[in-house]
Amino acid sequence: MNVLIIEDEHGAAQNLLAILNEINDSINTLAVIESVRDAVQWIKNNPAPDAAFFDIHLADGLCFEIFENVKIEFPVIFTTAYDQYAIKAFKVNSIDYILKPISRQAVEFALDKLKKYIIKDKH
Amino acid sequence: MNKTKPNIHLIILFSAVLIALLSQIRTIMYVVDMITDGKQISLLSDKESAFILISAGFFVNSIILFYVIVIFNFYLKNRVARSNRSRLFNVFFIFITNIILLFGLSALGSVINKFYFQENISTFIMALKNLFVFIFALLFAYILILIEKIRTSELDNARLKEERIKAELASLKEQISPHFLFNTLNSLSSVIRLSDKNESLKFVDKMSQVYRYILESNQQDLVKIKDELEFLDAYFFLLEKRFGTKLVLEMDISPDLYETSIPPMAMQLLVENVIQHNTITNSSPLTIKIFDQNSMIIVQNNLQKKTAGESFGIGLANLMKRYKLIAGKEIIINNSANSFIVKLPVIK
Repeated sequence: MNVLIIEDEHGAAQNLLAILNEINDSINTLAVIESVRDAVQWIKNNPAPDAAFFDIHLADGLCFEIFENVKIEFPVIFTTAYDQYAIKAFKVNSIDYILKPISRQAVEFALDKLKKYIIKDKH
Repeated sequence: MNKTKPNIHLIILFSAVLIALLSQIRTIMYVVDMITDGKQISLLSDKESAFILISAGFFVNSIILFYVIVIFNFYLKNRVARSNRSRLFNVFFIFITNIILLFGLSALGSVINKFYFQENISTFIMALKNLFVFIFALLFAYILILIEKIRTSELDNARLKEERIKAELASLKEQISPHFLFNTLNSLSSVIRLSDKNESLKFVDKMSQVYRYILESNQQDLVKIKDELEFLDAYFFLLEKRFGTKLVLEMDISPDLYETSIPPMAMQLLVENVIQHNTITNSSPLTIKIFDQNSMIIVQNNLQKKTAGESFGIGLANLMKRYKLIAGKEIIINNSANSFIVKLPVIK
């Protein structure tokens, strides 16, 4: 499974990568992106990943600006320390909303959901 | 404020009458003696009646003089203090206007004497005789000013307390918010996953240090630079774990300033503002420099504003207010095209 990670904090990105690695080493991280601008560029220029992890507060703004600037056709798992964006996240391709600090269980749960409802549909 | 003003006028008027009576004590004693002796007013000699009439003239004049001088000095002082002119000029201005008032009112007094009491007394003699009342009026005005000063300083203290509580609340809200706490805990997870036990323990240690400082220092108006730097060091450790190499923090404060003071968390607030309002990426790292220059702590960063810029924090406005109340000093902000500089004066 190919995933995209959008996260501006070094520590948080490292943590998520380590968790994904623990869960299943067949998960392939395509890129770790820090800003809205870079995310829009990457999504425009690359084939859609199977799923993506989006941090909400990014280096240059909120991740919702990405949805305004490029069409996103893959499921998104939000990861954030804020709980006030849940409703906004629900309206875009959200499959789960994980609160920081991120636990392995929460990521596993989100990935299970992803496999059950989304990836199965594709094949 | 509006309620106390009529009271002040009444007090001044009452004092004016008192001082005016006191200044004519000789005549009053004379009249009292006369009445107790049973002497009839119609039997007074011309000289005696002139003496009493002049006194009556002085009495009226004294009340007016006292009242005008007190009001003039009391209100003028505030006006002049607010003007931008030099101190020497102000003192000179007040002196001259007081002398003009003294002679002007004495001239009025001599006119009153002439028309109502049919006595001719020159303005100069009138002024000389008014000197006693005049000095009392000045003294009285400055006592009033002093009382007013004490009252405003009490008010300032109350305001300072209020600002401190507001700042305390704001920093508690900000620091113990999900934002800071959970992001910090998230990077702790990463340290536990990826580093050795000692590094994780160190993280817990620094985190405790940060939170203890936030809780303790907020109860004070000022902290030593030395203590604030120690706290900043622990705070930077947490930030470095979060942002890695894309956040560069350079600190260089002269040990000469260690024993001087600043409001608690002033530098941290500025660092936090910088982080909140600027883009931090690997391709454009953010550098924050903290150093001192001419007894000022300078927090400087390269400017790379976020597109969705939130308004500049309540925190900074609050810090400005606290500075003004605590030390009567101003924070200096220099916002140029590519850097943002805040200068904090240290308090000795």
